[in-house]
Amino acid sequence: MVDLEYLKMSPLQKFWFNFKAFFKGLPSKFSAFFKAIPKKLYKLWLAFAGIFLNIGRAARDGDWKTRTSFAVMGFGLVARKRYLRGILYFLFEVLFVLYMVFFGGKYIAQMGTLGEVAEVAVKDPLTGITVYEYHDNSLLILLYSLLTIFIMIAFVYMWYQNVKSSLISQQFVEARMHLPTDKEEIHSYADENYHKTLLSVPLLGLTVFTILPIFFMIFIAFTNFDGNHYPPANLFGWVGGENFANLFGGGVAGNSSKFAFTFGQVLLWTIVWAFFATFLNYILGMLVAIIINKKGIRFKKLWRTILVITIAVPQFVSLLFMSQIFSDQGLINNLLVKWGVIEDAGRIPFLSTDGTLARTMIILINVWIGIPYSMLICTGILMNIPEDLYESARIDGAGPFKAYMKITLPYMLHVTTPYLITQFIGNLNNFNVIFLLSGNVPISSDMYNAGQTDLLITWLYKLTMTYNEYGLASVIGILTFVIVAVFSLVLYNRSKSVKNEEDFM
Amino acid sequence: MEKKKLRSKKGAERATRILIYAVLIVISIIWLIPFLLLIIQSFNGNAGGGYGNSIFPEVWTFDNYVKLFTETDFPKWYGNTLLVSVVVTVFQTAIVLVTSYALSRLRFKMRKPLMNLMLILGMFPGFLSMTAVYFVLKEIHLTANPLGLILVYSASSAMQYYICKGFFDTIPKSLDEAARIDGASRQQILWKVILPLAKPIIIYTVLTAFIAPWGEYMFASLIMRGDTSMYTVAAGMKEIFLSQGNEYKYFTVFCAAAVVVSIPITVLFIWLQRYYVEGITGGSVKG
Amino acid sequence: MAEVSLKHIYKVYPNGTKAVNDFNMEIKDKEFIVFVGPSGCGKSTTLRMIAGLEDISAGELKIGDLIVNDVEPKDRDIAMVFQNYALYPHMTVYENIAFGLRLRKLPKDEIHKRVTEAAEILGITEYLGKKPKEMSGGQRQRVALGRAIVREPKVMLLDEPLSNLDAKLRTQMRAEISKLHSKLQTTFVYVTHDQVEAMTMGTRIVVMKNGFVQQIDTPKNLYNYPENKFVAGFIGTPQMNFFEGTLLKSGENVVINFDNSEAEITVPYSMLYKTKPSYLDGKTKVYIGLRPEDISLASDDVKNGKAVIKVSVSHKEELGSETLIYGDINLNGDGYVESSTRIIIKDNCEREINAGDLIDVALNLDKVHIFDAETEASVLPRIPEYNYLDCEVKGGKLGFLGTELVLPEAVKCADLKGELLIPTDAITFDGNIKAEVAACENINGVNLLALMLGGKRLYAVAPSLIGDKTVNIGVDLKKITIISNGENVVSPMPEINRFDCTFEKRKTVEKVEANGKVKNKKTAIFGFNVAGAFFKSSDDASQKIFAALGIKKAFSAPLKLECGVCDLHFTDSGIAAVAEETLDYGKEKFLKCKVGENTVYVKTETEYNGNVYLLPDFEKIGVVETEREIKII
Repeated sequence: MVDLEYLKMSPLQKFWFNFKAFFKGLPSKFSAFFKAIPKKLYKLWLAFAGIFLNIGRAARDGDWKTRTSFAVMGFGLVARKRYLRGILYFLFEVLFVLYMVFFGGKYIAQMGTLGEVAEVAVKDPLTGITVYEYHDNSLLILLYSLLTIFIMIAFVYMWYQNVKSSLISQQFVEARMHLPTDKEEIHSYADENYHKTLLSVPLLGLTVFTILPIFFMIFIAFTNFDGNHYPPANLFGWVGGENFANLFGGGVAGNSSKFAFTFGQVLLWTIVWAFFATFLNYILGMLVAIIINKKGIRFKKLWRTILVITIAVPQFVSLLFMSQIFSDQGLINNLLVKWGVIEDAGRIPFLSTDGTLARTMIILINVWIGIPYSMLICTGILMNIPEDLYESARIDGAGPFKAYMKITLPYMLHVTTPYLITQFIGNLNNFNVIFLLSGNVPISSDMYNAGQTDLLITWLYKLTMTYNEYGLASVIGILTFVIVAVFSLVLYNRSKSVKNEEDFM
Repeated sequence: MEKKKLRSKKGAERATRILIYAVLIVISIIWLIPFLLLIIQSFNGNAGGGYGNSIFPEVWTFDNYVKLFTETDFPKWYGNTLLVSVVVTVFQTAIVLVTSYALSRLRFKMRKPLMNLMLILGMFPGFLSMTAVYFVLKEIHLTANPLGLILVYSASSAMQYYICKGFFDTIPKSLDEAARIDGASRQQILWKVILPLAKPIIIYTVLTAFIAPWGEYMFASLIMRGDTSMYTVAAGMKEIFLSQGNEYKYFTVFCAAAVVVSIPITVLFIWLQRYYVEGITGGSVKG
Repeated sequence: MAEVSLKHIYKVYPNGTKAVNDFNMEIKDKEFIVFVGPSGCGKSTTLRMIAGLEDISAGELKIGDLIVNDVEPKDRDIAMVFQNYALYPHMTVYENIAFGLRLRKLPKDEIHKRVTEAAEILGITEYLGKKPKEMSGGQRQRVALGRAIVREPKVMLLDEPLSNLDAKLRTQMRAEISKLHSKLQTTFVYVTHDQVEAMTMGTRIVVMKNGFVQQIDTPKNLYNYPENKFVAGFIGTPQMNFFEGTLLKSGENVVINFDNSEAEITVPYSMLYKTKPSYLDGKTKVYIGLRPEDISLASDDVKNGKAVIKVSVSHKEELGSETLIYGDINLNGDGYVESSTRIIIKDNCEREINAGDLIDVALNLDKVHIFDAETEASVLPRIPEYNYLDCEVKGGKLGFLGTELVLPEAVKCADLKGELLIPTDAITFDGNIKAEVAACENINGVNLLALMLGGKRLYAVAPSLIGDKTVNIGVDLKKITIISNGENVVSPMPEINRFDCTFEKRKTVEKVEANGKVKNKKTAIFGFNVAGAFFKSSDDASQKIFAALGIKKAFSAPLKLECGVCDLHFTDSGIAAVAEETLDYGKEKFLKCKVGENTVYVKTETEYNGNVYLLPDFEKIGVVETEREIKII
């Protein structure tokens, strides 16, 4: 290996070497990530095939009790004295059938069109006046059909579990092995199966309030849901990939090329922003931490507390206040005018019309917000660096700067890599800072409903909340998600500390 | 010769120290001035003080506070926020703790996929789901109702398992094993061994869960938009005090509200600062 | 208070690596067993399998009379002490010790009684109110011991309990644990990587390496009779010296040549009676092992010693009571580095020795160990596997050691001169060859008889200790091998038959009488399909297969059925086999048959031709999974 050559390099060369290696390695990291996908898909396919295999096996090897479970869920279990599970399966089946008949079925049937009649005229039998009543609501149809699909998937899963456990019970009985009794089964939910008990509620919440809405959004991306098709007064319908085509310039809408341009601009700024917001905060925060923790500096606690107070004040308060005092008519401009630094006509557009200035201001204000956090984290780690490392460095004749370069920085970088990754990803989606600071920046005319400082996520917000462009927004949402997800999956799964989870135990 | 060198070294050290003190003082000023300004402006008697042109107001007054509590819905918002944050704290802490315990100490087939799933879900732009969440809540008649907000805030707490799991991971596995041999079930291990050892992370979770609703603005303003009196402080201050055209009128009131909101949280925060630092450094950043 | 029995225990990880391989052991009641080996050898994994903290991939684990493979740790009636103590930090010492009893809902008074008793035994009464944090390592380990003994378990498991303590405390705790063992009178299983701990505490020691058991024996036997180079090197400090060399027989002596050295010593052949003759050709590489304490510098020993060699001293370590002298038998060698010529001598030095000196040392030849250079197995086994003899076949008669045997049909061969291998257990005591008894010793329950026949030594395994001067012996000819010109002219008959088979489920209809009516009751039965024939397996056997392979895999995994030659019988309908030939060994006759691809042998009285049907004795079968090579039964 080039180990020896590497060891002989100067720090700068080493850094350059590592830097190059990182970027050289990046394509292979990405390709490794994508190469792993077919393998994962194959595994998934195997798992999927296994399901059918099990069902087939149950049909072939099962006795009449097991086979009856195909239609009457839980029968095979009850027949083998596992009453509790059997009855629960049966109840689930009954509830499912009732749900489908009285509720879910009609929404699923309408899913193809998302409703046909928006309003119907109803003649009031008493007054004889014709009133318009809302009839179909595309939003609700989509929402409920999704919910029904979720419930159907859950049912299929339960059905499969029922078949599988019927077969297993049968085999246990045949092999004269001990089958868990109801009592043992209940106990197992506080022991071997405790994870099921613990995770059921959190996962239910996650499914209804996170996963379901995400699927809803993905489906919205394929509809023409916007200001002109806004339920309940109007219906919206499926438009296929039109929204995606618009984004990449091939669509029918007149704005499509502008839309693609905007997307590029916003994406670029998003990445620039995330980079600065992460690394500037980190480096400056570390510097502050180091000088506060330097030996011989007094009132350490005071300095730290001054900074920590700024974390304690809710972030939205600080951000809103900052946006107010830096506004065109705000305190800073007023003071500058009063002191004669600027003319009244020449007020500085800190956060408004001048894109570049606004971007710089946002990054600076974010530094103001973020340094205390990174200072806290760095302080914690600094204190963990073993003192003897510094002592041996001093004996070897290293000055403070050398010690910093050779010990502090490498140690910090090593320890904080996962934190930096999280921060970077968080900043890609940092809604609060941008929106609260410059939410009212005028829309730039060459961009599609976006301002100079907009990140993907704030642009998204404007498109939905201000312009009701739900379909388009969903497309951007999906793309944002894909970008962020690929970034973080690559970085996370390749970083050591996540891999070696068990080492910490 | 030697002596001189030593002395010059001492001198240099002193110079750097003075420099550092200077830097620290500047930093302190930069970080404190905005908050001082905020407090000062909350006592500003000039109407629309934010748009005035002096650091210190010409008229000092308590009117902003009086106005805040008598003429606006702020007391209601405050009560709402308190209610929401207390209940959310209970739910969220429970959910985060049990999820972390399951993911850290128990071994089951879907563990890794589940962790990856939650990681991926966390990357979804949260408010994109707002439309759907809004309609779900509307269907169960929980819009413009603190319960709805509580439900939304608590429902996805499981995704915040990361830091807490990191803490649990540092508790030696052999403790669980010893307890299992002693005859404890997994449930008993959670209650009798792990939780008593998890005090710092419990406090951290409580703290973050309690603070979050005070600063969350998006969901609060959407879900409560049917009835502005049901807003939380964050939604109210942004939507009412600083809505387009109102900034001028309400700026000083906004400052007063900001002070009132900040005081309890700051006190809480400084009191429990140790745990907070332990939480973010010990949990999310591991060597 | 219980025996622990481990039968064919395996630990196989999902990626296929085997952490523990076919671990077999019967731990008797009240024994102190020590598992010892370098890290990663599987000793902790085995212990954790006994504890129930780790699943057993295959095999049968019994504690007392109960099979506990699937029993939760808490129901196994065991207690365990961990390396890092694993005390609950938030509980006081009292609560720590009482925790297990409280979970078992014992009455309060009983708990209090037991806790105070245990604390008294361990001398930690005054710390009962303290938290573990406030205590030293030794005290914490005492608490951990207290927590274990208070439960009065059947088996105490200790996983490197002393590793975190300093040297002095370790010695002290070692004695205390030994004392505890004799006081409690329970079975102890103790894991350590420290051979000194193993030697001082264990009644029997299991030496492990890479998941395989190397040797199970008492400390003394491990030290004196290591079965391979690893055990020899692992036990004893400083480590045994290993020299590469060759052995050459010349007359009644054997010359040991050391590689890269002038040194050469001669030992009487009697020492190497049990060694396979092919090692004595002066070419086969061997390791010669000699412990530092079996090498002497004393002038008397050197003067009178038969085996004296020259050593150049490189350096020495003074230990006070004794001195370790490092040197090299290659006079140009470097004694600092471990090599095949480096030598360490333990001596209570009377005379001054300095680096660079050239000294004579006397080797204690009674204590020399010799290992095969490739397999590293001892070439001086305590119980030799074979007797290696010269023989001559002439006119259908086998001549060896001055006697003659008529060769029966099965092993008949043309006239030749060659080598005869008679396994030690192939010598029977019902023949008509008269042999003198030279010695008789009991080695770990096996009676090894040294016989004199035609002036040569012959080893035999006897059913009981024999006090007579002479015995009449015979040879079980189905076990012998005759080699001529490097080729096996006569090979032994395999003792175990192996059939390819699969595990299957069948349905049977039984007539059951219930309430005066005869009903057909369908039941599922499990069994083995051997070449199309189906045999019902016992519930016990089926459950072992299910446990090792899982219900799903049990029916698809390729298996091998094993059964002894004598445990296979003829039936009317069974495994269809094609008879190939009848092997006549004189007293016994065997039929060689083909079952599919497998060749099997079955004891017979008459001759058969064509198709026969066979039935194994299902009480005595073994089952092996071929894919991962796991012995299930």
